[in-house]
Amino acid sequence: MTVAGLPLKVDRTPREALEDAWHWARQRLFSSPGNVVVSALLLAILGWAAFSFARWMFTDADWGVVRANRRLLLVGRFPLGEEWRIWPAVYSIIVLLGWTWGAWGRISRTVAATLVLMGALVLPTLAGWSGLRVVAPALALAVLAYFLAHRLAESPRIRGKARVGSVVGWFMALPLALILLQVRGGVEPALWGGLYLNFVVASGAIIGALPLGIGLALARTSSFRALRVSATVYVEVMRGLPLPVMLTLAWLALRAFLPSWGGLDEVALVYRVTIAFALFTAAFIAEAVRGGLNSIPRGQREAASALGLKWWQLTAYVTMPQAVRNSLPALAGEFIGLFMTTTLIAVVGLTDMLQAARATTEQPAFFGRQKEVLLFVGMLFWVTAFALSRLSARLERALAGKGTRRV
Amino acid sequence: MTAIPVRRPPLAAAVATVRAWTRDARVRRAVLEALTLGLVAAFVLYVATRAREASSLNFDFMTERAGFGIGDQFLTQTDGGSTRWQAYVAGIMNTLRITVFGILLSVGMGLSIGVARLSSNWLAARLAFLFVETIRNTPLLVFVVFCYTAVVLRLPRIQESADVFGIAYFSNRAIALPWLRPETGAGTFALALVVGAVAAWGAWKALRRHEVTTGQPAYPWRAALALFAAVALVAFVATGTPLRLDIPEAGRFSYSGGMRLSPEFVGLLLALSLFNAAFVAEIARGAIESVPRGEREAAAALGMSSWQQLSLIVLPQALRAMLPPLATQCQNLAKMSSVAVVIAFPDLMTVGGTIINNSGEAIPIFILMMLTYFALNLGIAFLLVGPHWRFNWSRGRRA
Repeated sequence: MTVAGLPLKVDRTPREALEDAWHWARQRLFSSPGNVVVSALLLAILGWAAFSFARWMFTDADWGVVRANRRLLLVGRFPLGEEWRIWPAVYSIIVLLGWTWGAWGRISRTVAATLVLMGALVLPTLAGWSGLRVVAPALALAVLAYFLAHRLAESPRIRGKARVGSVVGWFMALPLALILLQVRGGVEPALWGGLYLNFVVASGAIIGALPLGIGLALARTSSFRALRVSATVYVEVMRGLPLPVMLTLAWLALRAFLPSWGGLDEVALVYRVTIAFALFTAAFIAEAVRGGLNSIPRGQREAASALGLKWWQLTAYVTMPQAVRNSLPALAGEFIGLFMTTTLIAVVGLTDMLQAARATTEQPAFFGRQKEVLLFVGMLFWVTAFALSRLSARLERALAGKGTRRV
Repeated sequence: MTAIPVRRPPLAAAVATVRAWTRDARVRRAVLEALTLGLVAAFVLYVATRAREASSLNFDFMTERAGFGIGDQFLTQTDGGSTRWQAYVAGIMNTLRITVFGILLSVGMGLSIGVARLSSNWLAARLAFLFVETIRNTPLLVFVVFCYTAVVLRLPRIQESADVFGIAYFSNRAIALPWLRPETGAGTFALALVVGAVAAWGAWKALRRHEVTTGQPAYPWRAALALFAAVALVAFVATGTPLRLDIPEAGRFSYSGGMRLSPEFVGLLLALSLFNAAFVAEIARGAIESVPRGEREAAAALGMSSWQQLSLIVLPQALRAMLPPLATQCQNLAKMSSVAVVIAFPDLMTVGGTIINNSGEAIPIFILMMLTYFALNLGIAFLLVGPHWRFNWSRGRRA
């Protein structure tokens, strides 16, 4: 067993353990006079920060603001009795997380511990024990899906199917959220809010941005000059623009550019903002996919041409599958980033989770509770992004070495 | 009726020619290029017509009275009576201010954190890692709102403001720091500083060349710094104290003197630079790790101290690898400073939005904002990557 690179005996006396610890500290903390100063300074700062945080946590902090406003934070002003539109999407996402993780590799102990710890901190605050009853089955299903997928992935024959299943699952689950909001009368978009709004905007944008981004990447690597130049101009313009400007454009000026047939120019603000996110994200996805396309050896294209494959066959069967696979980690990064930047919809006055959190501290009962509610919101985003980023690191490792073989 | 074979040689020939064309790679290419161009042109035309219908597309309204004041200004004095152009310029100055200070702070913090992540000191490396991971997995806007509403706005009221040794004051209405105030002769002094800097650079270059060609130590850094300090001192005395230390004083409802910063500015600056520092730290770490281990080992074998290894061997090479991604990151900071609108800091974006609201002219303002942000991006790229091109040509590694 080793800790931070230093061998430690497993069965040792307390005295030996103390000596080991001292030895370790000498090497990693106090190896030179400079290091002694730095370590002492950092320890002092750390101690002070931990002490003030603990003092605030146990004397001043009041998490009632989160508990009392949990509905507002999660779904905003979503009408009562319409929750059945939300739960299937939430359930399928949670279960898919488990399945994807299981299919692509083992969850590491540190990550599992972090997630469990964060879950233990977040869930009771948010749901209380009564709310936990609704979430617990989803979590149990997720764990089940993880083990099942992990078991299936052990056999090389089924592994590919389990993995493809996870990717397909995600592309089925994301539209599900949008569809459920429309069917049987639907819920007016102005009433969508909270974390669910972040999620819906992010999934809508992904669905729109992925095909557009792939098309742009193909156009940018095409041999047709007009295509190449216009795709390049589009991508560079989007990358040079601040997202808030794009969103304000969608808010105040997009209507003037939408065709009037079918009432398309009267489309709700949420949709316009989602379009803006999709147009913006497409440029970044195009860059990721282009990187993937460029990493494919030239010989593959030449071989495919020599076999008489047409352009679309070459793209659909040879280059694109490899390009998407090579760029999956980068794409995952873009998607995580997109989910976090959906908080910017505050710019156009929509109430996502962050703005809902800001609104809670205007209630007289929770005046001045910004720290609690913002820490909570930050932590929720953090857990999601952390889980997804570890998942993408997993993907990267699972895919490493694939598609790079030369003939 | 007897079937008479119809001979249509001209048509058949035409069909054959068209067939041949559809299979001719050059023709197909030309047709497809023309088609794409046509589509793009049609789209641009469509956008232009719709824009024309929705707006007059002239900028006359910008010369009209703005009708709104800007609370927090930097080097500009505009009020409700100024023109919209003047208000817009005030917004640009605020964006520039937040960008420049944000870049300085975040690059400084980011470099130290990036170096700390690679430190042999376990605690420093772990804390740096924790910082980077926390920030990169949290949305920027959460930071901005947190720093503004939970940190700056929760400072004491101005009547009970916290002070640091009586020279700096912190309250939720303003933050006042000591500052240097230019007096008469400041222009001459600034000119002298520029001259001094150029002279010092020349001296550094000459001594360095001497050092490299002869192998004799000529202490270029010390000489250059001494020269600059001497010029600065002489100029300072000669122009008769052009800068005066301006220490703020706390009044009952406001501060006077010193540099007074608004809570919006401080909150935004804090959040942006902390956020950006995490990304700069990752760039720095990557760049330092990209320098081959052997370089450092060779330097150690030559008897260089740890600091010499870092400053003479590792960092110059890391810097070269670091500049392009760093430039991109700084551009990101400039773009992301537009989230100021969420906490109503009057930057370019906020002022632009206000002008749209009170003039109703959305499209011209968007064109203006896009151009301004492009110019800002180009400026940053030029300042950061411009020197890099030269750097690379003259000192490229020939391995």
